[in-house]
Amino acid sequence: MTFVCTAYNIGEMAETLGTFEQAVLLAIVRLGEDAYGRGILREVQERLERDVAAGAIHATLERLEGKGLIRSRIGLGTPIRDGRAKRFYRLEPAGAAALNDARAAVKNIWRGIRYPLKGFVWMGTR
Amino acid sequence: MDGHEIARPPRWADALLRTCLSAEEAETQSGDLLEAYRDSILPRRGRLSADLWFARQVAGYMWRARGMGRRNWMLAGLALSAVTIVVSVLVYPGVLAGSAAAKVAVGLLIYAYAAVFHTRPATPEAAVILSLGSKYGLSIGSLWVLGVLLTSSGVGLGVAILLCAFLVPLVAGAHAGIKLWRVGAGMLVGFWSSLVSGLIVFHGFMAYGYVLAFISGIPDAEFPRKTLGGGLFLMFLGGADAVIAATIGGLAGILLARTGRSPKEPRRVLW
Repeated sequence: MTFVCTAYNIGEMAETLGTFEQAVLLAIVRLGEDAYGRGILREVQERLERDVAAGAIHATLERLEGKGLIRSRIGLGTPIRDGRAKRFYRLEPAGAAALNDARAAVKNIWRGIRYPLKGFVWMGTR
Repeated sequence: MDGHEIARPPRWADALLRTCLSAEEAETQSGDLLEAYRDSILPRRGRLSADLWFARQVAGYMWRARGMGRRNWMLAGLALSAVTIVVSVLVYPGVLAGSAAAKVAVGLLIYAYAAVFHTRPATPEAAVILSLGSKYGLSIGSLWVLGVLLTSSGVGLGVAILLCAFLVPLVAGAHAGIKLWRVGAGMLVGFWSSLVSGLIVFHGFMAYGYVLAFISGIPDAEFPRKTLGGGLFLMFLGGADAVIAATIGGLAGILLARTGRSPKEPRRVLW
């Protein structure tokens, strides 16, 4: 039996990063050796300038690890978390490539357009 | 350690969080939540607001855990089926002969194996298959139960609904075939839909049978004996029908989707 992923761009869908996924991956890059759940949550909240649910961060981390974009290891806990273990994350080469692709895609689709858009008025006929 | 570091979020919320996570996730993720609660939420918002924040976070985890819940629902359904069968056999001795009981046990084990090991999809394609199978399974199961209830009540529409229930696996297979370009995808959607619909049908039948059996004045007091056989028949043989029909549907869907495509269209793997 041959399993080949062929239709509905499923292969491409798996490689496309959403904004939230990019924020999580970039938080891991910024935090380096200290990238664990709580730290990533704080970093993403600061960058996105909004309250983010901890569950959303953990679900995204799990999904990204499933895609092979990050890897995790268990570390020691601290007194503030009652000694509960931390899970530290690290970017994989595939994750770096996905971030680079996402960045390049944004640059490409914005090429030739002045940012920020100002006073844009619809000129078409209705 | 200051006051904030020893402050505890509501115990019930912490316990609830642990129930919807695996042991390892519970350790690390509840630790993250506890750390956030103590290092930033509590000092900034105060006790009541921090507790509410914690409860809201736990609710979020539970909402997201519904994806994992698919496996739990299936396992709970299978466990309830096993209990129902055992109780029925005890209440109505001889309702399942030795060989029939063995076949039912094998069927339940196959379904349990699939529910335990294949309900956390590793690929986007597997996720699509599981999602389609679950949705079509819910529809097929509901149609079977509704159709049988209406037919047994003498409502003519019940026959039409039963026909729909019989044909929906073809549509499910065709949907999967068109979406994923694999006959095998149709077959797998058929399998998942048969599992989900089988559970719905079995429990629907048994509930109906037991309710009737315990209402005084109903002449056929041993109704569960019949519904047990019918429920098991539809659960497994009806499931086999769903797999076959969905496989045929998958092939038909692919052939339909290929119609009108350019000859230069790259050849795709069909299985």
